[in-house]
Amino acid sequence: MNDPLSCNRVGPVHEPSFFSNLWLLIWPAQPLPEQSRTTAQKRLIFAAALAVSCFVVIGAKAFHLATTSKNTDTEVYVRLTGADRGTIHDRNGRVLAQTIPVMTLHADPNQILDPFEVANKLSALLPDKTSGEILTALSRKTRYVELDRKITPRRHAAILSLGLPGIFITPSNLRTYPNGKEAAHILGQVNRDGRGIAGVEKSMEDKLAAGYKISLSIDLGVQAVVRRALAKQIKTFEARGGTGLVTKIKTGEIIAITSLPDYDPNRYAAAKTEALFNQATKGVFEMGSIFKVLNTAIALEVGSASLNSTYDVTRPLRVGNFPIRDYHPHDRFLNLSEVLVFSSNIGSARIAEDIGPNIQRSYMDKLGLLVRPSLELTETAQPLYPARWGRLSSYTISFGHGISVSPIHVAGAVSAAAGTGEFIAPTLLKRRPDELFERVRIFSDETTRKVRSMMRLAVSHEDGTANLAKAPGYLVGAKTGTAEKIKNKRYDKTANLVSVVAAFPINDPEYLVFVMVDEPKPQEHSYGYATAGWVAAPVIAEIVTRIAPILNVHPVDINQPEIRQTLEPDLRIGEKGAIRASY
Amino acid sequence: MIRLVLAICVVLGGSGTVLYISKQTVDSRFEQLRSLQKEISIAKERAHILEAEWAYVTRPDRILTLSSGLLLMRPITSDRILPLEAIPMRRAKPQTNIRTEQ
Repeated sequence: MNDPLSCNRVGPVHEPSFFSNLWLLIWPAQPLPEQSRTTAQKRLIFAAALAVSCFVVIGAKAFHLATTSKNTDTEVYVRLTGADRGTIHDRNGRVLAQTIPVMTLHADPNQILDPFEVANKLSALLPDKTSGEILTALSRKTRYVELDRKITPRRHAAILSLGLPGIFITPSNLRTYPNGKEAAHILGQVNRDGRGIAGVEKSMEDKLAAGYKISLSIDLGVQAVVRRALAKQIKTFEARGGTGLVTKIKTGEIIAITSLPDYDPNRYAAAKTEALFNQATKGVFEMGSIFKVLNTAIALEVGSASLNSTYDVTRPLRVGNFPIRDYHPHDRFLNLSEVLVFSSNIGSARIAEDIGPNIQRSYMDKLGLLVRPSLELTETAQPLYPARWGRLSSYTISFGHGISVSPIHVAGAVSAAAGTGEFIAPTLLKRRPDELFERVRIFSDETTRKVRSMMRLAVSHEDGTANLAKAPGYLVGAKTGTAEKIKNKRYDKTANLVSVVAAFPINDPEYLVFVMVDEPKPQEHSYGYATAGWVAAPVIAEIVTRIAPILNVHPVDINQPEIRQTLEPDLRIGEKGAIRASY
Repeated sequence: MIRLVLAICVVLGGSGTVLYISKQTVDSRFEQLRSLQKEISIAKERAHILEAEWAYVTRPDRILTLSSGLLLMRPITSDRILPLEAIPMRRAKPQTNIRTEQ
């Protein structure tokens, strides 16, 4: 204790404060020389223990990794190309196109020891292929032969149990269309790499490939009704094919669209060429008298005609060497309503004469009849119309000759003339209730009301051309069109293209229905006729009766005054005086 | 000086340990995430198969064939459909105030 050094190091004896103790703990005083060896030994032992414990931990982890844990870094869940391709739904959420995982059976002919044995064994498990077909496939000079695109789990197990070298089963994807032929043309197709090559699959490729779901405006139930009704009539009248279309007038949504003959998209390779053609959007046709609806609407809108205007239809109208005749000639003047209801070509040409070619062309343009439709499909058509829209052209176009458009063009244009008066481009995508879309006002409410009344009369009047389109309880207004087809650069009287365009309920149209039948043959029950009134009009009646309950359109009592008032009350038809359009 | 070096070593060692633990935690979470993603993918695939199967068995053609063969159902006609207002509603019971005399 008398050591001056120790006194200097330790300092005067006094009670250490809390802070000085804490400082010593963090930064201890340098030990005395005799104590430093002990301190160094302790530190060495501590460092050694730390090093040993580190190695123990590393060793234990290495042992753990080597014995129990999987090598997670190399484990990769195989996601196949196209597995996440978006689903296509109808407007009610029903699946129209879906990608599902499947197992594909393939072979490497180089590794197969005995092709005869393999072919015999596999043919028992592959019902679609004979032993000979498999043998031919296995004889090819290639390293990859696909034997079956999709095999069931049971066959998968059975093939594996055969233990055949050179036969492989690998996971793959399959784009499937569960509803078969329904809406086949609209849905389209994908190629082997899962990329769209037709229909919505092609036009919406970017979204579908990114995994987005697409909701179409199509209603599968309505689609089935339209397809079935049309197919039945095509069979009855031994026709070549046909088209059916239902659109929602106030939004432009296409509720059903069918083109017959059609094909099963699940067996695309087996489809015939004519079945792959979508007549509803890609085919252009001279639509015939359906254009009289547009001609009449234009005349009323521009004021060149009124309900009291009369036209001389007693003799054919001759322009140069070209005579314009009526299918059912009349020996008196017809008024505007009668021209439409009795479908007079001469009367329509005279109405067009008053309109003038330039105004007629500009309205046809506004109605989208001179451009390719802006539909969500690549299979659309450019209309055919005369480069020089002169007087003769305007006459023939007034009754639907000299201009060829697709059914989708007709749907858009007639929806404007007989519906809201606004042109809304038809769409295949479901619209949201609050969605804003382009509407172009073409016709006034007064014009559309008069056109609707005339269309109703074409159905309700006993001499109307579309009275077989009558659907009890539902106010249908319609216009027929029978056009001779051009064969060898001449109109062929034996080959007709018959169509009817209808709207219902005609007092406040919600839906437009279009039906076209290609080359129907006259039948005994139709008294030898194969005109639109006999062939296409009954399809309209059946479609309306079947789809109205699906689409929530209630039947009405046509004698209700409030319904009568929405149609033109007094249209003079025939010589019986004024009649009501709603009858 | 040695103390400073030691202190820095301790700090570095501590940070290394924390970093290692964090990395291990991240790896473990990442593994969980991958496992969940795999489960979701498998579930989605199964759902796709089920949806496709459901769409296949409820396709309009099949329903129509089955209903026409097994049920005595026909297309509904317009005279069978009535608006809701046409159905007479049950009259509300008249409210009666019954006083119980005490």
